[in-house]
Amino acid sequence: MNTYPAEYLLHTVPVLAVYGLGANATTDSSSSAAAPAPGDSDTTSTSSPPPSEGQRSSATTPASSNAGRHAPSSRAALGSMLQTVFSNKQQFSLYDTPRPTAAGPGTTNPTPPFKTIFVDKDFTLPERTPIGPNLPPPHSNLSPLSHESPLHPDGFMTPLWVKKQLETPSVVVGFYDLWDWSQEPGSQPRPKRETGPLASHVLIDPTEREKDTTLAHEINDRRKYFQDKGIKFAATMILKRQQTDDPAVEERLVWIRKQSGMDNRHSFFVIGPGTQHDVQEFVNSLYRALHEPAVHYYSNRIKKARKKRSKLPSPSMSPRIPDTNEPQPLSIQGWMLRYDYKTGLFQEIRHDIEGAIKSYESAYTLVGDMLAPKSSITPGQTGLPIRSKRWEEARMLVDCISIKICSFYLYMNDPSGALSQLNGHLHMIQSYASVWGTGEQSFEYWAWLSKQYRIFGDLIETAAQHGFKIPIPTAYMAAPGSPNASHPLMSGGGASSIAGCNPGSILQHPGFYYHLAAMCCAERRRRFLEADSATGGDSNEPQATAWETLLANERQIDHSGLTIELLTKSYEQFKKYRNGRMTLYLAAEIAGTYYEAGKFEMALKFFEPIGKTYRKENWNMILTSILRWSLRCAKELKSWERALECLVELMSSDLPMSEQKRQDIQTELFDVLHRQQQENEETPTIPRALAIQMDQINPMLSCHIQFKTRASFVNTPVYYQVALKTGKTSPPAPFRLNSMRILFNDSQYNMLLMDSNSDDDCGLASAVRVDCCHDLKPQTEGEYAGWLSKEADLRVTKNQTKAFEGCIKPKESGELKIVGVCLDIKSPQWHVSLNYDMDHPIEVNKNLSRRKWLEASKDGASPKFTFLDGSGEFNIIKISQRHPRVKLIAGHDAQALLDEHFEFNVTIQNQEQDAIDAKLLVELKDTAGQDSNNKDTRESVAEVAFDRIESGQSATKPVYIHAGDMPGIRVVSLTARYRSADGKDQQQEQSESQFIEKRELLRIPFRSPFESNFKLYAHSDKLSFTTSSPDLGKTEKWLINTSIRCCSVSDLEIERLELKQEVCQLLLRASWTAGHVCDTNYLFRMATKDMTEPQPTIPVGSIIIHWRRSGQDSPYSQTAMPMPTLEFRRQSLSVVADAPDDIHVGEPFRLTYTVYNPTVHLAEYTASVELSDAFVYSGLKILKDRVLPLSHTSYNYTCYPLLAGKVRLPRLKVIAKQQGVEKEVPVEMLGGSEQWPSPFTFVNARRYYN
Amino acid sequence: MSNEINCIALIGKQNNPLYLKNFSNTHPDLKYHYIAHTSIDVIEERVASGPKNLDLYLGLLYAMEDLAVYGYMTNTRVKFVVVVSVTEGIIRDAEMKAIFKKIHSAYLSQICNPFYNLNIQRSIDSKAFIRAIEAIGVNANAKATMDI
Repeated sequence: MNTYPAEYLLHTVPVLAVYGLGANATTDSSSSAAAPAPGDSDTTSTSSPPPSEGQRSSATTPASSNAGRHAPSSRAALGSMLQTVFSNKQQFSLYDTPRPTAAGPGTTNPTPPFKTIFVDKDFTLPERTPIGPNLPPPHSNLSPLSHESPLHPDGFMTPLWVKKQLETPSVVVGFYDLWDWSQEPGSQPRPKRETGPLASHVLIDPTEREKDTTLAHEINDRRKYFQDKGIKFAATMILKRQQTDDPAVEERLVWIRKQSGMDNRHSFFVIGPGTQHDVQEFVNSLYRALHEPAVHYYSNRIKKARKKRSKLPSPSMSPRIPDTNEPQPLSIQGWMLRYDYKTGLFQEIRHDIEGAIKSYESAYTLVGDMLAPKSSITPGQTGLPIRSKRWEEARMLVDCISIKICSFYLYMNDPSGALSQLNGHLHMIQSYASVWGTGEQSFEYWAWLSKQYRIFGDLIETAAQHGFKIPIPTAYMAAPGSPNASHPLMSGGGASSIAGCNPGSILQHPGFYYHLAAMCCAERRRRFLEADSATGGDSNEPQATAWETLLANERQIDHSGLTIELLTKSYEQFKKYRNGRMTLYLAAEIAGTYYEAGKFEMALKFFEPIGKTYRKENWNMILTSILRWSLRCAKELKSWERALECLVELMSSDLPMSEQKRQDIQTELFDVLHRQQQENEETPTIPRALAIQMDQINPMLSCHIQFKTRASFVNTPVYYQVALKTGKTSPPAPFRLNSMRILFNDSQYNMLLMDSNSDDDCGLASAVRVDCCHDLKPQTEGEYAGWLSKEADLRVTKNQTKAFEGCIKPKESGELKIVGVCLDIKSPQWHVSLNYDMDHPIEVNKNLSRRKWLEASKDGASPKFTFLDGSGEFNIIKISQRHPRVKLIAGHDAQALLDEHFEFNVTIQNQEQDAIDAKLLVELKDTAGQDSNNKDTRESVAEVAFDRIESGQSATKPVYIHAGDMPGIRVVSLTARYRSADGKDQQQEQSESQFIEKRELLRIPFRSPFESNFKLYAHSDKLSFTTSSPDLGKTEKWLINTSIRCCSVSDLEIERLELKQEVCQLLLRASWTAGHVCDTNYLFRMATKDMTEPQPTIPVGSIIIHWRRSGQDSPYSQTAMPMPTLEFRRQSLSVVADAPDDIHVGEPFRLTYTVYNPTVHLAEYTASVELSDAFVYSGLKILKDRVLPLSHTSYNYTCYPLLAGKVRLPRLKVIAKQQGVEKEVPVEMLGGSEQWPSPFTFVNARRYYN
Repeated sequence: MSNEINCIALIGKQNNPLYLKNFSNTHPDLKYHYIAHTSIDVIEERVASGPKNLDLYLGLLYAMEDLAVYGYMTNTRVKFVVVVSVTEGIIRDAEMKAIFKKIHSAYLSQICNPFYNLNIQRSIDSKAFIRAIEAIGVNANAKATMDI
């Protein structure tokens, strides 16, 4: 009963028989028509999804697909292609038939499914010929009434009957060839017959007509034969390629059709050579055309079955005689069942699913009743004898019918109907099972139950693949308005008013049913093992009972494999429905099954990944279970690393466990650690190392790190505590760690603590502070050479906090971090290190509590926790340079003067605790392009050593700054760099970073000490006109008046003032106060030999003042002030008036105007004399003249003064054309006295009065 | 209430177990831990796909073997799961709701305790709370037996 007959579970569709297709047409029809039902029909036939259209074409043989590309020319190729198309679908599912509602009028007519069988050309139906002329035809050879039937005398149904139906066609299609001359051997190809209007005159080829007539007769005979049997017959003409183009063929076809009496649309088809697609299209249209007659055929069969059933008497009318051992003929109830089942099957074939449900349900009730110990339908009928042939048949049938009903309900989108059928069925069988002796104690029952659930899961899965929606369990809640009473879930009277549901009647996704099946399978295994062990003793009994064969068979079954398969199916379903956590549960179940099956490796493989989620979400109970299982597997596999990992995690107090069990775990852990290597294992010379990342598992010890402060300074002791905290219950006994390593990001601070092997009790107090600040010894050799180490009591026990307090003096600034803590458990075989990786940001969601620090109490009592600032854990401390504690004081005058060596004093005041070694760096900023120097180095940066300054003392050093050129503010940066004077000797290799720096900026205004002002005066000489020849020499006199003003706010002491050209010390040792003005005059004579040549400017030099601030003893500073340069005046025409100095009224004198032309050009001019009231004169009044280059012309006027005083001379106004412009030439008075402005003169009073 | 309460479980916001009480003697605690854990999936799905104003009471989450799992989620995403045994009868939502309401009020009194750390991902070990939950289960089961 492990498998169901495929026929019972197959979805049946109309059967179509085909003959006349090529070579295969002659082969045995039964072989090709046999339903290729799978040998192992444990899974239902519906589980294979129907291939889609694309798959269908790809499923064809390579030959035919080739043929599809090149249109076949031969008849055989077309035949085989048709065969392929007909036979490429042999199994059908319920969902292949389109739903009637889906095929609306607008949609393309879908192709109804047909099961095609290939038969012989002279195929006939099995005849039931009457033995005698007056006798009724004999019963079918499957009828219980015929003696040779397997059902004789009281069987009710056999899969053979279903098989027979699947071989009985409802429609037959015959393929025929149109006769052609080419078929006649040796005949010449005939010329094409004319057609068209003239064709009628041409005689039809008599040979063709003859052949066609024969064909038409043949077809007609077949048609008549099948018509008599109620089977639709259709003929298909296969045309050759040349015939498709022949218009005469059409005429012949019409003739044949008429002769054979075939209806055009539904009985007579023509196919010519074409592509695969064409052939497929043809077959589809054939199916569509033949569907209706097929349905009609089955409707007739239904009618027949119903008629027979209605003729049966009521079963209650014919009570059975219970006490006869003779095989009784089939009861009325059995006949009813038979007809109902037949009706159902035919309804199923014609896709009347609703009707099929009814018929099958009726059949189900009947067969169920037959299985019942006491029939309720046929009075007096007892149940079928247990384990008899009929009983087995009935059980098979009842299961299969139930499965069909379930699948139909799902197809009808009635999940609750399906589920209630399943539950009802299970319930019914369960109630009978105890009577049959296959109750809940028997493995058979569980095997059966597992199968039911599995098939139901398959059904839902198939349905879901075809668009069936799994209902949400609370769908009834979402629609409160819907009438609850009509809801199928609402059974019971009062349910309509109060919402609720029966959880058992809610259809869930297949995963649940697969899981149930798996659970049943596991139960089956357990029951079997029980039964097997119970009967194990007397198995040597020679006579093998039925029970023993059953057990022997059961032994063959790989229960675990089945369970795992089911669980895997369920796993996939849950994965599909995104129930991630459920899949974990299933993975655990799978792993457990593997364990039971002894496949520890697989079990471990499944256990390993699932722990993560449970660990993450703190489902410690589950995690504990998984770890225990893993541990068992690991031990079986001798995978000791894994076992140790599990054991270590199982030591965690978070995992719930009784104390005894915990104790066992701890013992086991040490057993494994100290386990002697067995002979068959390699003996490692060095202990095997195993690192366990404690932050990824539930730790047995939690490790907390606190730096006492958030920040500290270089060379300042930094305190930290590493606290190991055990849980409330674990470890139950003191647990000795062999060493503990504290790792810093700078490895020079790494610390190694080794167990001191002490046994006293004080190491097991609830709070222990271990001082690791003192008595540290550096490791000299081994793996941890260079580390600081100490021995300490490293035992931990439950409910304990052990804080290891350490201290380091950081040597550099930066971040100091504890990156990890490793706890080592060592044995001769193992070196297990429990690693706490601290090098990751502390999780935010971790519950942050206030920071605690275990303080040693003074009076010897147990240490106490004190709170530190902040919360969480500080495993990082910022080490920075200490803030400089020196003061830089710079004293200087308010104003600095350019050119001087400006002195200011820098004082460094030491406020540090100890003496320092300091130096000062002075830097003059914005000195670009300036000649500014420090006194000592003559550079803009200078260093001044201060040497040792005692604490609290200060030292002062002068600094000189020199600035030239531009007045303005100079920025001086003073940097004091110092370090402790005492530490200097110890650390010779000090790097720069050990200096502490203090920087100050100083802004010093510089201004010029003097301001100078120069005035230039030109002096004209009296011209000598000694020679008339041109005189090229020329001299000029210039007076430079310098005025130097002292701008310094402080008095300056002037050593001397000198003109750089010739040493002329003007002043000696004078002292100038602010605002003092020193005037000096310098007279310069310039001479040139040839004034026609371009004259250069003549530098006069500069005035240099040697000075210093009054009262200072410093060397004199020099300030140079450049004098203006001198230049010959530009040579141009000039008029010089020459008048006597002593003029008196009434005394005539001669006034001479001389026009000089010092240029090399001829000068032309006009001149006129301006009248003056003071004089009368004689001479030219207006003149026009020219003067040669480098010569002069004089005009004499005799003047008679009329008035005394400052009067105007009669002026000669000379207008000359100079550089193209008429311009008046200015008149100068000879002698150059600037006493009077030209042309005025002074006339004295009359001297003589005569 | 015709169905026996087999288990009451409270699951924290981070999907961590807060409290789990097994009232049955047919299944080990571990089974209910698994059931409570897997019900998180269904609750999450129900909440994600459900309407925004979803009732706190989520109704039947799933039925597994002979157990039906009901769910309830507070506004702070604390999940309550009640596992009942499946019998033939109908489980009325009103009755389940009443049980959940009782659990909710027990939980509320628990978190009203100023010393209770809401964020701690550990089981609730308050005696009063445990008593309250046990009372809910025991009362309901006593009623169930009376009904029968």
